[in-house]
Amino acid sequence: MMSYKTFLNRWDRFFFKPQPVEGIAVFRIVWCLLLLAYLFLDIGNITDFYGPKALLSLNTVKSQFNYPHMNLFHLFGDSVPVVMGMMWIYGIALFCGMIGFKTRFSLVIALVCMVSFHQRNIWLLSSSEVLMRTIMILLVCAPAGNALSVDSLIGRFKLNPLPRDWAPWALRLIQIQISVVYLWTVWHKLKGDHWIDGTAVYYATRLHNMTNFPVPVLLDNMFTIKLMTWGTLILEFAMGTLIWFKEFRKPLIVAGIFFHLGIEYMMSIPFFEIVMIVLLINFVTPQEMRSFVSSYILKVKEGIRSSTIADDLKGRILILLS
Amino acid sequence: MNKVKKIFVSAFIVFNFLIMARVHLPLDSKFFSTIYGPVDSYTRFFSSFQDWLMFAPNPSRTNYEISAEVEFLDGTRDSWFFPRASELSIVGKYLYGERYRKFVSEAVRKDENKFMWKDTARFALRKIGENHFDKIPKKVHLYRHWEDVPLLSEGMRTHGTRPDKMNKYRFFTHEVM
Repeated sequence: MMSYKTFLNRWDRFFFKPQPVEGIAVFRIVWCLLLLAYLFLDIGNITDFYGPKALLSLNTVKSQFNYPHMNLFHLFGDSVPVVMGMMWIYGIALFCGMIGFKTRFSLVIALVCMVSFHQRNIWLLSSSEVLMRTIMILLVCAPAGNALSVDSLIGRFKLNPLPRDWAPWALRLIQIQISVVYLWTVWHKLKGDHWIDGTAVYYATRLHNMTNFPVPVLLDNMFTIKLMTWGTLILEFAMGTLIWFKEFRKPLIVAGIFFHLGIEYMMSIPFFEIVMIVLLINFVTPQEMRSFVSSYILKVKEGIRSSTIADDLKGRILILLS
Repeated sequence: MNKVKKIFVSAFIVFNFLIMARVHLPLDSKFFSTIYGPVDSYTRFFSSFQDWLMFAPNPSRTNYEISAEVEFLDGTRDSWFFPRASELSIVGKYLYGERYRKFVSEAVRKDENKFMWKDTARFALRKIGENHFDKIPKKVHLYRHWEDVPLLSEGMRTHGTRPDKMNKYRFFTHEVM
């Protein structure tokens, strides 16, 4: 039995022992890039999903939310200029978050815009958007702009560099959240007959509006269907548990990427699989990420040294990168 | 990090654990609703209730579609299907295919969501009206189409096959005039 003191020590070590900030910084860049791509695709939906002639009117949506919730459209209306304006603000905030300029402020603005767009018609959305909101809240809590960012460059320029180590509790919560997604889904699936008898993948892939590309041999054979059904349960369980162990982490990250790419190929569930793949970045340890980033910066430095740009400019860039 | 800050952050961490665990507690229990008050307010504020029920406990076995039919004053009719992801390109699927699939199969088809039927009918009318500027609409009907994927014991359906026939039921009529 673990003593109270041991528990507190482990809690402290797990959530608060300083770690390099590069891990969360890399995640910030990729995450904002993903959300920018999502936003870019959403521009075509202004009329049908967000504007005054959208599928559901703003009044109908309002009537279903009789409790406080975040939705700027309730304040500013849903006219096309408002929707366009919010998309611009959201896009700029994401871009600033990506390059790390006024990072936390940008991410907060992006979060507010994202939640408002999602809640404009929540019935269109799925688990990927729940994940986007949940992770964004946690990302806002992390000093994700302390590395690989304009903020960190400004800090160096002003001779006031930002801390490069942090108590990684927000990263830990993101990691736990990822595990919970896998574990909860396995838990719910184990209550279903089709997951137990090995036919779940058959039924899931016969929903014609969820089919992406045909997979004629593998998905028309009961042996491979059963293999995929039970394999899904095993892999999802491992992704929720074994990924925390050093020996299994890297193989499971690779397996998880292929697993999600496979689903993406077979089934039309846009963004969920990509979101999950991007989230797996958080299981690369901050130390590994720091050494990866350092080696990348070293290559950039070499490139600058051997380039033909003026020496004084070369010097300044190299100082900033060092 | 100082001790006071650590205590606040630890409280927030526990708060997040409670959010993650919420789905496993009885949602309609008065006891849990009371002690979960702040957690539920927070999840409602951000719509971040987590169930992670992807294809669970069993994947749905039913294909759903929704169509609308407009009756014009001159007696003619025209109909329109809400975009079906299976007929869209990969770009269309990413742009709006999945959104419509979600809306059709998990929202508008359900009786408990009848609050959205009138808006849905008017939206369909606008879509159909794009090709009929010269006609006056009289009524818009909404139809559910559904088909249960046959059980494996009845034979295997080849992957990528569209159902031959779907059931059809008119569930709402909007009187335009």
